[in-house]
Amino acid sequence: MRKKPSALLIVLFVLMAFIATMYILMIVWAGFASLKDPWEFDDSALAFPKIWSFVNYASAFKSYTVKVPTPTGDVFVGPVRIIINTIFYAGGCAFLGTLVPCITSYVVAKYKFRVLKIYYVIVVVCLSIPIIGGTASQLRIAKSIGIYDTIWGIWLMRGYFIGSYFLIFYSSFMMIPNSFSEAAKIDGAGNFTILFKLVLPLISKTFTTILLILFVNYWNEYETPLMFTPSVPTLAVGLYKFAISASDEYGKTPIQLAGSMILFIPILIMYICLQDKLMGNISMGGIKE
Amino acid sequence: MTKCEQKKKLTLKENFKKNFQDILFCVIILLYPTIQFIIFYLGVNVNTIALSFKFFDYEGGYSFAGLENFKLAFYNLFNDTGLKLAVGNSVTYRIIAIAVGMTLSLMFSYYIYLNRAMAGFFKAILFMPAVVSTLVFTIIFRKFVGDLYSEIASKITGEMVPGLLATESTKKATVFFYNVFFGFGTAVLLYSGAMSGTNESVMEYAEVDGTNYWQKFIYVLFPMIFPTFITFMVMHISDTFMNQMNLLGFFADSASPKLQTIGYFLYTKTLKASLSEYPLLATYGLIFTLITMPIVFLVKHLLEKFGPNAY
Repeated sequence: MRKKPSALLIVLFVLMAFIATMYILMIVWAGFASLKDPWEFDDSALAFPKIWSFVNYASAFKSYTVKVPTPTGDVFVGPVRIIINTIFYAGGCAFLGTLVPCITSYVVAKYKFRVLKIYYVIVVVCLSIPIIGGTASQLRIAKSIGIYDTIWGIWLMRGYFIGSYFLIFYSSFMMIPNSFSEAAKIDGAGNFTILFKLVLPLISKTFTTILLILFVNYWNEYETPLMFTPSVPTLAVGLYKFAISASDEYGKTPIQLAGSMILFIPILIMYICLQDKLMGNISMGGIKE
Repeated sequence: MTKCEQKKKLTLKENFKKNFQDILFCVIILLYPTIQFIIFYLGVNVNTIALSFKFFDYEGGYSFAGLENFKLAFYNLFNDTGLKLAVGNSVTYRIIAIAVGMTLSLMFSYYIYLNRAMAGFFKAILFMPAVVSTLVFTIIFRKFVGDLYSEIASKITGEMVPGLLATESTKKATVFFYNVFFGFGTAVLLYSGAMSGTNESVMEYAEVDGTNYWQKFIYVLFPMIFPTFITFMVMHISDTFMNQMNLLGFFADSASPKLQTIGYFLYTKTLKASLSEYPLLATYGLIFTLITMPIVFLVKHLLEKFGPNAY
């Protein structure tokens, strides 16, 4: 029997269809506009490109050059170096940002020493307390311990266990029966073998999902590198600097949109290919039975 | 020493010997997370508190300043028009984000949970802005409501119409709209995830009882996902004075004071700040933390106490 259409569902469908259409329209328009000759764009932002100006992408790629002030004078960091920086920045931060809450929650969930419960309490308390405006202090500490403006320094700052990912890993570990590790121990496996060869493979889906989410977040991030690693610009910082540039050479809208597309396309491809992993069923806050 | 105490001491020793490998493993695993927490969480926050009582002098370094920073911060909060506007914008946006953004996220998630027409497609599309760079979307949107809107509106009206971000009257509404419009992603994903984890038979019973979609949502599903709703509400309120409304992507570090939020104000000031400005910025941070914290706890308490109960 077919279900009756409901007014509520029709309204929701229309609203979501409108939003989806707007998203797609914006991206398609940006894609076409990025291929327009800058002068053609000035004539009409709406019309399709008469000449497909792929040269905008080359110009935009070249414009991913960031001027970095150093004690010996300004240095220009080029696009290749910026891509390498981005891979190191996003990869390192995502890896440590996933590994640290994962192994911390494993120890807290699986080892029965009472003192370990403090870590769980710390996470819950810290998640409930909103800390505002700690950046000035973070900067001061980073400068004083010599990690300011270094990529490994930002890795250390991002490798924390406090956060919702600790709770997600914790609940995953709690679901694994203790009999698994007990059996492995009888077979002579040590604690590290149990963790890396038995338990981590069991939660690899959750680990990969969180790793991917963090990688994408850090790939797109520009506020933190702008503040903490000014000499190590990433692609997002390059786009930020170039998109707000008012110079005639790079200030043209099609080139700015081409620059945006350079950052957008790899992530879009990744999103399409790994959609299931990125949208994995991670729950937060729980449900009532 | 009594026999009992001797026995207890012996058991502890034996236990330690027996568990030595486990203890060593825990210490090795927790060494880095603990040091990281002490430096970058405890250290940073203690330093923020300490900074707010300090004064910086280029000759003498940091010295104790008593409550001077607080006096100045409160004076600015009550007299500086820019700061007052920033507080107003932060609160206004938060109210809009909760009233419109959160409500729509919940309703969209319900539609996706029911798996109606194109539910999977909508879920993927709504989540896209959470994955794709916010900066990219901000730049595209800026051009979209600038050049493109201006051209279309001018063609329709027959006269020159400026872009939506070019006039003061439409600027703020456009930025608010953008932030709500592109902010459904994570909420929809987590709400629909929570909904799919609920007991289906309860929904089936409700259907047998003849309830409509709205009643099923309000009386059955919503109470079951209420813990997730509380988590989001807490996150929203905590974010009130941290959110930058993507102003950096729209206007770099020179957004009009009429548009600024406290999050944006603190970020841009810190970005350009010298050592002597850190104490006042830390004081602002501390004040807004102290304002937000009790509100977060109160809202959480009220929601837990008076929220709907699951069947």
